[in-house]
Amino acid sequence: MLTREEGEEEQEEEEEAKGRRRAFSINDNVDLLAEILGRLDGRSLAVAGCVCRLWNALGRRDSVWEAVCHRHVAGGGSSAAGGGCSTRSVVAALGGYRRLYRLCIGPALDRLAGSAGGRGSTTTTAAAAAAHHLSLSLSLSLFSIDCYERLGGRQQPPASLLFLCKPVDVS
Amino acid sequence: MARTIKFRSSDGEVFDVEEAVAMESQTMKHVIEDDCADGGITLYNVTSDILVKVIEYCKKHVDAAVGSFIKALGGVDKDLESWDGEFVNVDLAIQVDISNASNSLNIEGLLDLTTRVIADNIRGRSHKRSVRSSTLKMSSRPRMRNGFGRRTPGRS
Repeated sequence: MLTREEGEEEQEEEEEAKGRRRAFSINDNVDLLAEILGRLDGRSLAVAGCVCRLWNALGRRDSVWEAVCHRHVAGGGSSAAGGGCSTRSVVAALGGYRRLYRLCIGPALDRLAGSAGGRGSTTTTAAAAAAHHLSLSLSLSLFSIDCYERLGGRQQPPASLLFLCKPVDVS
Repeated sequence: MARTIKFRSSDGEVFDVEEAVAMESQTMKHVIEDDCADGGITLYNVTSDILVKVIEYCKKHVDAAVGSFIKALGGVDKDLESWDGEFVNVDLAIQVDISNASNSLNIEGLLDLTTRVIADNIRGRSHKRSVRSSTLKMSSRPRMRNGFGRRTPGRS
């Protein structure tokens, strides 16, 4: 009795499988996946790069990180086509949007989210980070200073962006 | 009288859609403007259940745009937003299918909505395994029952 029921179930599943054999998987459409990953925050995108080779390759694409950076920057950033192209070439020369996020935007957002949480805000970290829009020009300035400092091949790590990582006592 | 256009899904079902609703899709807008839509349009990569959802979204947004002066004043339509939230409250696999359809049909609002919802689903998953399981759920292909992933020939 049991084997007959199991046999019927298997038949139904096979029919369903035939009907959906042409179904769509998210990994088939790389551009769509890039759109989705571009809407994540930096930490989640880095985690998504650990899933499989395809997602890792997408996580290394600068266009995806560009979308992430512009989402956290005041004024959208990607609206002005002319401004966007020149910004893109500058950032590419300095090391790419992924590096920009890792060195400048990411730590700044963490600091802002941390300070918002410390003030007893009930919003989540992501929401607090989203509420603070950084200035793109400031981030680019810091990024270029860091790049310049690394050019000299100094033994010590560059000092310009350390204030983002360590708390500064201004009392 | 509004002109209707026939859309045929990949599994053969035919839908009559008003021209204004069909124009929500930029791809279809170009086809209609080029006068290539007289014999009906066949969408080879959209199944009937997904096409139903897409048409429902387009119709809702066309109706909302016609009747609403809030958007004209630059405001945000809260009712439409809550309707959108309910609209994408479906399985992850269906969300992925809808986003793929909106990508190929070039419906900007629906693409933005569905990709944002899928990204919210992925966000914050800290463990590699949990993210990997989400890639399985994002596929509407049937999984292997015995657990050993035998690769389909032709797929890398």
